[in-house]
Amino acid sequence: MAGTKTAKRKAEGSGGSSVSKKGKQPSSPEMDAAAALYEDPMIDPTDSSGSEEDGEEEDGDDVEDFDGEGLLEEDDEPNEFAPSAQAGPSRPRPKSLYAPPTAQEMDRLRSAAENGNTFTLQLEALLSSTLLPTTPAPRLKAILSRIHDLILSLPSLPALSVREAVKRTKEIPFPGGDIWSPLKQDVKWTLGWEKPAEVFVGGSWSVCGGYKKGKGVMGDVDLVVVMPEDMFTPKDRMNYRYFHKRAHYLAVVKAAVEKAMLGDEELKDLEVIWGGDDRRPIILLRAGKGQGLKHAVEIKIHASLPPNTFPPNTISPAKTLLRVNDETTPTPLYATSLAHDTTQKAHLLHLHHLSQSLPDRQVDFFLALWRIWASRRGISKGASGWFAGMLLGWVVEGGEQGGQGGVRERIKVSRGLGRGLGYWGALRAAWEFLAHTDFTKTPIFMGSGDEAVITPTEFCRASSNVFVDPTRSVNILADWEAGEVDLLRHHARETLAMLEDSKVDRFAEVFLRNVGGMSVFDEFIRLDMSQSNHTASAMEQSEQPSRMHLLAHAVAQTLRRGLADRAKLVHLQPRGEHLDIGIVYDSQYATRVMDMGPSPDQPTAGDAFRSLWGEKAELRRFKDGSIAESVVWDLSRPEDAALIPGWIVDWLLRRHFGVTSADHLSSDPTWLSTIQTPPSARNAIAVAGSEKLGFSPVMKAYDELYKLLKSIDPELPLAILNVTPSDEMLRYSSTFIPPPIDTHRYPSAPDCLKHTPSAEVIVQFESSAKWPDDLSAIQKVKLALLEKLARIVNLQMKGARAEIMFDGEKSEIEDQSGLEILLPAGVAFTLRIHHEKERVHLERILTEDAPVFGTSLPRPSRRLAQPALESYMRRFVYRPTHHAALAPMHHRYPSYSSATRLLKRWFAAHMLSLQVRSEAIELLMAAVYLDPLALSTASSATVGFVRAIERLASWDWKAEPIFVPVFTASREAATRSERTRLRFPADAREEATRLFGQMRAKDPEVKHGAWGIVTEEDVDGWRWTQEGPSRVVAGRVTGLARATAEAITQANEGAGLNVRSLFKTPLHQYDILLHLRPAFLPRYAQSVDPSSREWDDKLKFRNLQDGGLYGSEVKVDFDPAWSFATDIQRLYGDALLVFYDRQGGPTIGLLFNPTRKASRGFKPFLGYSTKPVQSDSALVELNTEGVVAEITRVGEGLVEKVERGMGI
Amino acid sequence: KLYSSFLPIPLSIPCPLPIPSSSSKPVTTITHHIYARPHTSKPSSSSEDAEGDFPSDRTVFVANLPVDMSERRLRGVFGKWGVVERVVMGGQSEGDVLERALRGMDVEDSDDEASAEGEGDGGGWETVGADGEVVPSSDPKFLGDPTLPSRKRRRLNKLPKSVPEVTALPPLNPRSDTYGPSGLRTAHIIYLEPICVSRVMSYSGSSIPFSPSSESTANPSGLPYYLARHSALRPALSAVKAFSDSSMARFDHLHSLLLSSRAKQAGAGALLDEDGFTVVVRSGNHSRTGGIADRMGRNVGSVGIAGKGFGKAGFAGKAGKKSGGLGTAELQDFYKFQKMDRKKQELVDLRSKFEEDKKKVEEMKRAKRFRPY
Repeated sequence: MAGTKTAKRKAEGSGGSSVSKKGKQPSSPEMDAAAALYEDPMIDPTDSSGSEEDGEEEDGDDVEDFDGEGLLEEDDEPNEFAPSAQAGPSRPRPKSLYAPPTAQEMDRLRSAAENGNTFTLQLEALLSSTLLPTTPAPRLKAILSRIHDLILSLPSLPALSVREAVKRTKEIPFPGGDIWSPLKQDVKWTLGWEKPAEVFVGGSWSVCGGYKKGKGVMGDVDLVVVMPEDMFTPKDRMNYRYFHKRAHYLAVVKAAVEKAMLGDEELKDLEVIWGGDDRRPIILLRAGKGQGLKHAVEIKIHASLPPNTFPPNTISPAKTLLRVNDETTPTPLYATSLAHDTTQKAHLLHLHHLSQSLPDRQVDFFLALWRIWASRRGISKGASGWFAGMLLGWVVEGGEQGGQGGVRERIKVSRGLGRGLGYWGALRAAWEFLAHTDFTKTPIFMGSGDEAVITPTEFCRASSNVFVDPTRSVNILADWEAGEVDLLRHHARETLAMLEDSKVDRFAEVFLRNVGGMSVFDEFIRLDMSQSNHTASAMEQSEQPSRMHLLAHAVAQTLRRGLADRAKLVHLQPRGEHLDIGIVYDSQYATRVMDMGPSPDQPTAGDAFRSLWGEKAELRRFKDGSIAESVVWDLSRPEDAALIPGWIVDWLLRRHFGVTSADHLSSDPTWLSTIQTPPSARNAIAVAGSEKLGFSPVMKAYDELYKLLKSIDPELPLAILNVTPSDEMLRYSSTFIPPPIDTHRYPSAPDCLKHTPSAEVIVQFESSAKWPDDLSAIQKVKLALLEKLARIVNLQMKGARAEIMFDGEKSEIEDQSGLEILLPAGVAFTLRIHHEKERVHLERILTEDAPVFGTSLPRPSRRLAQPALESYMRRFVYRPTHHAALAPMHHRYPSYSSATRLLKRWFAAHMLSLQVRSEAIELLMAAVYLDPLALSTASSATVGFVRAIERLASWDWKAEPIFVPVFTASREAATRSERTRLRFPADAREEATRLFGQMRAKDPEVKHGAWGIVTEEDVDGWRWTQEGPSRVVAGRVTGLARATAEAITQANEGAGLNVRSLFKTPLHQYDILLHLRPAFLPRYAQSVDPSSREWDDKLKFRNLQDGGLYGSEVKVDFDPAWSFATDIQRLYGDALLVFYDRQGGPTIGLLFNPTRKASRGFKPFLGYSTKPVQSDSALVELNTEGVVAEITRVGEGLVEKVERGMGI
Repeated sequence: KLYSSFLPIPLSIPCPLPIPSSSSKPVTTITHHIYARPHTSKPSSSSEDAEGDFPSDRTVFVANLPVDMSERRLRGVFGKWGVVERVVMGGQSEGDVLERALRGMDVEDSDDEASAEGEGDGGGWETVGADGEVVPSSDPKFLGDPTLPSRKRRRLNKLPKSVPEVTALPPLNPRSDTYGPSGLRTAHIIYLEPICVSRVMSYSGSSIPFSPSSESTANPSGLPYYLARHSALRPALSAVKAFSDSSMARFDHLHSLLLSSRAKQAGAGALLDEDGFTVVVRSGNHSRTGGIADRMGRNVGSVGIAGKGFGKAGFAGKAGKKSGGLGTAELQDFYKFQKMDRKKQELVDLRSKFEEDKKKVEEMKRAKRFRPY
């Protein structure tokens, strides 16, 4: 006590001489230091005298605490701690870049450059923000030493019978439940209390110092009370007796602390509760501001045993330590948890030894980074500093590895990687170790086995995953569910895979971004287990005292058997009465329709199969003649295959656990229904039964058309060279699957269902001298060719209808016509003719001087050539290449198509159809699939969508473009192995970054091009985002994505998910809302929340329908609402922004450009409609009402109601 | 009161739907202002162009027309002040280039009324188009081509009678006056009498009632417009065929006419193509084959492009070779000072990169990026 106070006074006196060299003198004999430290670091005079903490820091803090929370973040960064980031007086600042370097500086520069400067610097910045000074806060020290003294000064209590002892000490949390409760049976042993053998500070805090765990919260401090050996008899290890004595021991301590709190200044207002697990309770003391501490802290009081109280071989995991009805099943979990109590001191020594043998604060850094990495990933088991210490021990020192020659118990020595790795290297090595070690096949034993009492065989028999601590008494993974080990390994693997491409700064992905819940798992299910009818035997319950953990193990095992190879990872996390089930699919098998079981000549396997599946299992004969047990799932639509794993989970849970209320977050059927039209609408117009076929009617129709076009060469003046698809419908990524239209029922369908989309196909004719060199003449030749094609199609394909269609509002020289073909199958296409010379001519107009030769043709103006070239490039170059690159995505990643469709639906639902091109959306989703960052590639549409939303939410588009290696992906499709990740070509990336930087430097306000989406073919990154989104819209997208991501995060945390609500857009920010008449929206059935009355009422009297307003001829691509929306945007330019949902949205939102609202002098070509200002000055202002009225005139008949938003 | 010499003329237009306004009651009639001014012609262009010719004493220039204003309606409004001779709405297409070239018009010179009026009022005009780029008003002209008359002595040639007429497509837009961009639509009203102009400019009455939507057959709007437009954009195949065939014939004819007229100007048989070959042009009796033969003879495209590309590549190649050749390169680390300099430079690079990155990270730190939890 006195010691600490002097220390503080001394520190104050010394005034700011901050000394970074701590009490750890490497020169002092190791054991000495250890002994000194572990005796009691709090009151050890050498320690406190060595720690002249910087008084400034502490003094300043008390004031700032009350100043406000915001300051808390920055002020407590001890900038002197990081050895390399030292800005202290020791390192002379280079005067100029040419000053001679010191060796120290060279080291620093070199080591930083090794992993990339920014990465190293970011690591240091992160570390400095998480680590607290190694010298503990004096107040905390005071509290600890007070508790220490208190426990050591407690009087002994005489041994009493259990019933008497319970009366003496209230509230003893006897573990083990009713079966073992000493109160429920007659026991002869007694409970007394003796002074502990020692009390020391364990855990990482005493070695590595504190760290920040949360806002104003620091990591836990462990206080270990070693119970005296002579309190226990050898028989105490059996039947929970040890744990009962232990609970009593701690209960006495707890009562004493509570009592002391009343009269003690140091301990006043401390919160004291029970913590720990169901078998080994611990005392939690919560201290914080009330105790004058800057950071809230939890002090955990553990009870421990001197190592050899029970001979180690008697508490081996292979022994039966619980006797229920004379069973002899081993009790590894019970034994492990007993053994854990003997290891506290040994593990502390292990960590201390490591920190002595590695230079500087490497161990502290390693532990801190590990904690951050793991907690970002929501890892619960294995996130502790203790586990990190074990990993580091293995990485540095090695040990023994089993699994030689396929035998688990056969071990060989495996050497560590030594001390020279540095903390970052060690961390990578630890990930490497986890990623490549299958703890079931190759058990790991730390330390040397010379003195080990428990043999590897015993460990291997007791548990499947084996990772034994350096004392060889505890299997660290014994009480882990297999899924927890898998999850840790999964994350380690993905992190390493992500770091492979060293050209990209992945720091934020490794350490800063939270990944968890729905974005990690392809399927995320929340299970209410309170209704579970699962029963466990007395033995099982004693071995695993927590009901939820017991259930989790049972559920996990059942699911793993049922899902078999569909799942790579099944992870369960109990949360209260709920279980969070996370499943990572193997995309190859996840959606398989049938599971084949054993054949009838294997009776035992057959029985097991039937008992797993119940009535779902049936004996089937297969095509090849074999007969086998099998489980088959019925699909009504092909997209439903994605739901199969969810159905399996439901089925198995109902059958084996009586759980019916599974809350599927990822395979909620609402996800799919947002990209499907309601069945009644679909049935009214589509060919019957076509919903079972998905995209295949469109694909088949395309093949038919292709064959026709390829076979009619002789009848054409020029041969057809290429037929290239370039439409989202033909690469499985249109938001809605285009239904084949039943042309017979079309006339009687209501107007609000009469939408027939057409897919664009590019036709290229052979090059020939017959093509003229004049751009407008080329368009005429195209017309002639189209006309010829139309006649042939009409003649050769019965029931097909071919019409020439003009774009309108195009200049003479621009491609402006296409051939619309409605095939008898009810699918429409638009053929466009691609003539390569057009590009040459257009580029010449723009780049070359006018020709002077006598034969040169006069050229059209540049003003026309510019837009003509743009539309040429987009239609005939960019779109086909884009199509070719993205079409394989659907085959490689089966869920990509649905994920893209969901994302498109999302963008459209938020009325962004006019601003965000669908190609840009496809590339965004491709980025999610091709570069999954810290996660594995998505295998379900929902997780793809969720990740895309998260990426949109976190994308700082002002600072960086998104890189999408689609072309590398389609090139390397054949050669690439599954595990290695795609890389964006480094030189292209560099070039793109440079261009992007230039662009932003020129235009810091981001007036043009908000989103850069870079592909290998488009290093500029503006190909699909040039016209939109603008800065305003991009900001809105980010906001919407954040809100959506927030709803999803809340769903992960248990709030439930209303999928539809993610697609409902807020309308109040718009200035003007134009509500359209649903009856005249041909796509109305596709809108987010259509009211089926619109079509149901009209379908009732179908025979009375007279073709409606839209007539009985199929109108291909007819969507007046869309034309209206685009017209408004065209007519009003940048005076207002139009927001519309192309998929049948019933509302158009208008936003006036705020810069146009100011009044100004009149000019004839202002670009917006004005009215004179009511004042003396001759100024005019935007005529808002006039504009709105004008718009309603343009949309007369379509617009039902005009509403004002909040804006004006 | 005038606004930059423009007189606002209020039109009161009934709304098809009630428009919510800043006052609590929805509005059923709104006021649209058009702005009128007597026309002042650009002094530089003593224009002989028939359609660009506006008599300055009896022409009114009107700006800020509603997007759905039609010529007929405009006539109706301005008929109030006198007899309107004709109305010319802004934004005509520039027509076929080949035809313009033959008639002796400058192709790039698309001087619409906008620039003329803009300069007149001294304010200049800005296009507020999507690209936000002001269109350059003067473009390079066919300076090297002696056959094209310069602007000063422009006289339009009449096309010969032999030129085949184009069978026009049925109109692709169901509106006889298409929608025009808001705030950019203008018109010139030419009155019979100059007095009418002053009558217009002295108008100070109340809003003129005006209803653009009442003439639904000629200029449909709203849903009927979109329906009509969908079918208008899909003309009958026979019409398309007639159009494309006649346009092709006309193109071929004009093309050969152009060539022969140039040949005549340059002297008999001296029409050279870019490879220096003499182009033989059939004169007089023009036929389709003539044009085609000519076009076959010249292979303009690929040569031109290749030539340009080669030029660049050759230059780059030469430059590259010079530095990469054996023996020509500087010896590395030959002298001690070279080595020292190199090391020094390395250090400097390392340092400056480090400092740069440090700044970047500091920036991130300031943005509170490094939260450990």
